[in-house]
Amino acid sequence: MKIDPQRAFSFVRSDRFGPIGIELALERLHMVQVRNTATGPRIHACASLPVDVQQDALLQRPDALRELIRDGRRSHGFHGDQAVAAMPASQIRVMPVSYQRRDAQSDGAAIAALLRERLGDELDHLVADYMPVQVLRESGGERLALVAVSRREAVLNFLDGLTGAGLDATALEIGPIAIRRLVEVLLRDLPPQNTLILNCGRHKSFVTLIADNRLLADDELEFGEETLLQALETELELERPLVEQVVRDANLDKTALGNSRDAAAESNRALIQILRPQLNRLVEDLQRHLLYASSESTGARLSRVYLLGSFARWAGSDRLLESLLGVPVGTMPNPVALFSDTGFEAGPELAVATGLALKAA
Amino acid sequence: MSEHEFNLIPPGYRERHLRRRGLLRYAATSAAILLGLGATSMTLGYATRHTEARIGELQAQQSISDGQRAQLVDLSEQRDRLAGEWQLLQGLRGGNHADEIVRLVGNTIVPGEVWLTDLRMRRVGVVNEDEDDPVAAARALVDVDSSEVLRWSAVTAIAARGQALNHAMLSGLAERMLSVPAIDSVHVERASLGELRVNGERVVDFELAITLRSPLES
Repeated sequence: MKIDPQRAFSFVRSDRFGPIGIELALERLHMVQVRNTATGPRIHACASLPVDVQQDALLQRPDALRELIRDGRRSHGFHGDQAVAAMPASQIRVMPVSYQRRDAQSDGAAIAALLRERLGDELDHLVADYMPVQVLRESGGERLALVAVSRREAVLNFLDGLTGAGLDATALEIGPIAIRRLVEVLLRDLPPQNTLILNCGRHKSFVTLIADNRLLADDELEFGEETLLQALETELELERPLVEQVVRDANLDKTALGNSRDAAAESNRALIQILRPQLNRLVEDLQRHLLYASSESTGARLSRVYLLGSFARWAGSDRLLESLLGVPVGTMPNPVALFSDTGFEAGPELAVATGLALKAA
Repeated sequence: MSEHEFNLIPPGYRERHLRRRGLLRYAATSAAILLGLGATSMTLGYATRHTEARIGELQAQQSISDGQRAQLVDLSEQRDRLAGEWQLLQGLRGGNHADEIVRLVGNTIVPGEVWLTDLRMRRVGVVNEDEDDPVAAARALVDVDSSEVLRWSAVTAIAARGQALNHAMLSGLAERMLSVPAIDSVHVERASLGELRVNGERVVDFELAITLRSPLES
């Protein structure tokens, strides 16, 4: 019998455990850690902890963040101290930047020079990095990158919170990169396609556009669950708790309604009619992004939309958007369920943290 | 386009953090080691003091034991001495009867040749320093204050004074006495010509020291 020493002694190798993926969302702190096994990554630990403090306030108090992370580490059995975190979306500005390299200039140097030119001394108070997107015109050497910038103070406070909790932050990323990494793993066996991930928040949503495993865009949309709830409140003349109850009982899947004339079906149709103006604006934004993705990717390919966040939890929201958009729409597969044999209860909201955790240590 | 790893951690931050953490760990480890050494030192110091105190206690107990042992020896010696004295007193109390002694001595007298003018007897305890010299033993006095363990014996000592017609008759008396089994020794203490005259010749005044075997073996 042949013994593979690398596998036989894998239990003493610390790299069996990936880094702890940490995402500080608006109202929760998400933490995920995967363990690399012969059959692929498996969830080792995950946590979704409520955050009682405003995110801005939390980022100004590294000690509060430190305690929150320490609690999560202690109570959920995370292993090791290496972490990959995502800078909170509220602290990040992502913008497309087209640039040209001069002579043997690197992409980084070219982008830094461009940012210095545009931002001047303000750049000294910022932290920036970029994601190459594509070469626009090979002959002219014009290139496109997504540049993420954040205030240096916010970055350092966030890092101090992580390191204060005993973590060694090996990378500080942004949500869309983590999503791209997760999608890459999830869609590994599917043919190439343009993927749009709509992450719906309470007040705003984020669109992440991926093509050829490249992050094409990460944009903020003025669309959130609150927009829809307010429309229902106004039209139905109901108090918020009742509106939320109606939403919980509703099913927005038009195809499921059929020709049924019962009260529930009529109620669902009424809801769809009320929400349609807001959804139409959303659909227009999504179509624009999909069009951009098609123009940036080569050859005919499918497009697919994944929903994440609050609106994704509305029953039938994916089917409704699919009917409006004309491309397949689905809720993001529960990453924890995909990478776990045991019943972790957390769901799609851990997508970013899972994507972070999948980064090789 | 080259692969670029996105990372917003400012350059040098992680190195500084790792260096600071390394220093903190080093300091913590050093502090822990120093603390451990301090604790060990304190423990050893306490153990040493405790052991020394215990040794002191044991030494005190040992000295008490030595004192007790010496006391025991003293008592043992005292017991032996008292036993000897008790034996002596028993011997003295159970000695020979005076009439027997007078009879024994009297049998050795030849009338007209030698006569006794004074006969004194004493029962005394003597230390047998020299077993081969019973006379010396007879002369010894009892020293009850001596700390030495002595062998005691009870002796009947007789001091006899008398007169003989001449030295030859005195000598004959001594020989006759020595032939008596009950008499252990006869010693002429003094023999000199006296003032008394018999038939114009001066008689010999003498003193004899006689010891008897105890009890009398006749």
